[in-house]
Amino acid sequence: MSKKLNKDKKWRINLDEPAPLPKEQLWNSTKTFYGKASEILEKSRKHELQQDQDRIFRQNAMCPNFTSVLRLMTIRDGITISHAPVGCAGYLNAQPQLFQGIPKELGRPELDFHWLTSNLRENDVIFGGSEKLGKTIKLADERYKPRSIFVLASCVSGIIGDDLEGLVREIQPDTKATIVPIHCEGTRSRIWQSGYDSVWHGVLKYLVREPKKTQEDLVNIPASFSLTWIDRQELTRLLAKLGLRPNFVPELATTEQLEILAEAAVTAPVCGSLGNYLGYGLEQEFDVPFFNYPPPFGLHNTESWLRKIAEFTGKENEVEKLIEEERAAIEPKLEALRKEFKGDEATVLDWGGQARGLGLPLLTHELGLDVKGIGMYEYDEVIPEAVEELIEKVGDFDVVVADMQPYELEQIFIKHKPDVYTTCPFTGGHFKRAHTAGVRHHSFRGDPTPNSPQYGYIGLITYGNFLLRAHKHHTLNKTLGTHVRQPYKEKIYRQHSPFVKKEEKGKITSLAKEEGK
Amino acid sequence: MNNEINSTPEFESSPDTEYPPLEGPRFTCALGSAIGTVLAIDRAIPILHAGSGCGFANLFGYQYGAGIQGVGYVGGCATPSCNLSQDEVVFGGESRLKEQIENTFEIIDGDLYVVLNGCVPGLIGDDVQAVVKDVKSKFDYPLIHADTSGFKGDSYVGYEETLLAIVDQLLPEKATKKKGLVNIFGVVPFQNIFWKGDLQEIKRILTKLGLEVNIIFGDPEGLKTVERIPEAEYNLVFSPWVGRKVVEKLEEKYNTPYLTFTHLPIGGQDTTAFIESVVEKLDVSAETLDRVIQEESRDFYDDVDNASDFMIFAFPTLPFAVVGDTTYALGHTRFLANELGFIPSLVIITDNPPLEVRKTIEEKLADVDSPFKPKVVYQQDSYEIKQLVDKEQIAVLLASSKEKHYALEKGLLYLSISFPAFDRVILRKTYTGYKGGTSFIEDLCALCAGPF
Repeated sequence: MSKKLNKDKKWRINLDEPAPLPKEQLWNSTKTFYGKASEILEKSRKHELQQDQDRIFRQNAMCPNFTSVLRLMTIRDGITISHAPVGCAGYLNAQPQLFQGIPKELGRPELDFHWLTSNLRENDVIFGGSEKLGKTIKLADERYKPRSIFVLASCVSGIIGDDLEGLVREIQPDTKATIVPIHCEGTRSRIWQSGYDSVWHGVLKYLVREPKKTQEDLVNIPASFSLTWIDRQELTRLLAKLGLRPNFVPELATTEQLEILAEAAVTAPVCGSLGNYLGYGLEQEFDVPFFNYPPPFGLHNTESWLRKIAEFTGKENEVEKLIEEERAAIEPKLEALRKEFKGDEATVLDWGGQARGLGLPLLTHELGLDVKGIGMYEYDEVIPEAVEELIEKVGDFDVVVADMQPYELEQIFIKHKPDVYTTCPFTGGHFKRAHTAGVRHHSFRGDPTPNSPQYGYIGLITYGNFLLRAHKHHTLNKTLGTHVRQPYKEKIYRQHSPFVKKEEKGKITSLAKEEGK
Repeated sequence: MNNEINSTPEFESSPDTEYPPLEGPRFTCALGSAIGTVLAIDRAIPILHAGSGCGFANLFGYQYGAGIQGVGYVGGCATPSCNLSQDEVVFGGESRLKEQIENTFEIIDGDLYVVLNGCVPGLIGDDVQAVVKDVKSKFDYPLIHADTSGFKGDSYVGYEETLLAIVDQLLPEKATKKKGLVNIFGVVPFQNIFWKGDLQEIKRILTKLGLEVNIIFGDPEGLKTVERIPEAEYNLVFSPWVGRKVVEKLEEKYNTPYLTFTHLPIGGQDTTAFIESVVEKLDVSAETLDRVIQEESRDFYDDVDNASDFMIFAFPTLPFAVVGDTTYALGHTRFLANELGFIPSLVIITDNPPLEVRKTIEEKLADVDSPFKPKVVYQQDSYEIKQLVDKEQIAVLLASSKEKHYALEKGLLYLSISFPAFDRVILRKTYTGYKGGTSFIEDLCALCAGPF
């Protein structure tokens, strides 16, 4: 593999290492911040973002291993092997249900997913798990003759010191599939999004091949699992109008789609924290151009996304025509939505990954809704320009960066009392006590229903209507808010700032006071 | 069609000492199941001394696998967790745990706090017990600890370890017995996907007989039900082996005898047989017994009567296979074969029961009321399970959602009855007992119901 060390690149990826640096070291990522957007911008520019070592009450979140499970569970001709005790990767059992809801008429490919586990037990943690892993890989190779086998490391395999690279070197010659070790040990990083980088590291190191030719019309799209089937269709439709083709990875991709990543004309992620590592890696190693912002949410961002792609594929003229046509097509619907929202002082609190954290405020602003605050699971120093642009367009707003810590989010909630609140349902149930319009943040990969899209032009209208309905009618939230018990002690409930930190414990200004000042 | 019972276990390795690699196992680790077990006790709070993903992976893999059961009071991301990372791997996690427990007391409103450790502390050698003891000496909250390192075992181990920790660390040395009080064990929350409904139906039936039934899990009385455990006159275990250690421990500590049932009964025949065997040991008047059996049977068989127009049309003595843990595999096979006219073809038991109880399990399947006896296989590997199902000439498959799509492609009638069931939402649904029998008939008919 050619090593073109690009000196003026800030972010350096080292594929000679078995694993990437954790995000907190590589991108100075954090999941501990509470303040104004302008402050996080300033802090990230000065490299002053804090890590979360001082958080003294935590609730569980994801980990790099689980993130990798989510990313790799749907490679169509690959097998996922969890080198761990059985509990780490049980969600792989959901494989058969993930995309089966998509009608064949909507383009669902043939699906046949499988996963195995080395099933580490007490004896293995004493004597090592490599031999068992070797057997597991052999079993997968014989049973399914896959193109690729992804081996996911775990806390246990890491701590007991199993040598994955050594094993791969030993058994690869007798294995038909390409074995890809993924260093996604759960304890590798406090930031579970590091698992994304681990996945791309393995893909770049073991699968991506030296390009024989550049496919001028191919656009790599590292796609989050919140990109629904209809979103895919929308992005495919838009690119097709420019004479381009998407290469959605890794979700539902074939191994070949990963192998040819270096042949693409450009890498255009829909989520920075997911796509950065692949983008920078492909750029550094194979000169594939890359941009990491914005995601194609909302009008402005969708158009910027398309224009950036056009810039790298020589479609500058075509893209302007496309934008004009698409705008004209949705204008009446968009106007109707804006009218509905107008005069309504609805405010939005938005809680999700980095892409939506920085993407949705502008989308809702375009619809005429004020964003009071956003919550992000993680924030990194890669895209200060994005935050700056966002503040310019929508004004300053509150930002909390917390890794799904629902107790902290309750505090934000009490402070802002937003009219509309968007969330992932599994983040601890705080949406239930909201007494307000809490709606899902996004749908998921296999959702083929007309309500599922959020990206592109179709997504803007659909999601706008979705927010409108949620804002006008939220009896499920009322039901939940009235009847669901909450686990937080009332006396504590309003006392702390979102983070319970060592140095602040016990002398925190109450949020009520903060509001009054 | 196979008409003899295959009593040779095809799962060859000794279940107690050797654990082979597995494709798509249908259970979680000790920690995952322990989390579910604690969450199933009302207002009991798990405190995870584990990596940050352990709770989340088990929410997705285990609780959602049990019919998308939601986060509830303090599940999912709300569960307190030390979120151990590299720092703790290097420097140890004991101080983090102490801090986490103390702040959990301050923030989370619960009646019982249970520290559950995952793999990491087990490997780096944290003395969790010492930390718990230390915190306990300073606070007045009920706090216990179960060692549930994921590598220690499967769902069944996590359930038992949690209950053993309760018996050892929470319950008093002595207790006064209460006549007619029974505890229910062996139904593992989430691993038994219908756990809540199952337990509540058992409670409903036995309460009708005049007994006081302590189901512990899914009971709004939470800690009180836990504290009542030693007072029971009898412990009832609905598995030939899961929960056995717990009831043995209770027998040793409180002299409480136990009754073992191989499975949760489904429908009229097995449920009636079950309550008849209960009253052999417990004091219920013959009059009450007769009345309950009559009332319940009347309702149930009225339902069967009403369903029969459709069933005779839709289910012409169809051969079927069941894939699941012992309790559901036995219950469904017996109900379909003994009462609904289906032909038992294949039973795949997926919970790896110990060798010594397999004979009992096989007897329950050999005595089905049919000249056709099912083939019985113990198998945990999903690839092998598919091979077995593929070979069989069947029309109906009751299994996990892992089997759903290939079953539908083969044109089989398919229903998820065992873990994992990612294709349905389960709240209080049960196929247990008389009511469960009716409910099962409804769901089975719904697979193909339509006008004639």
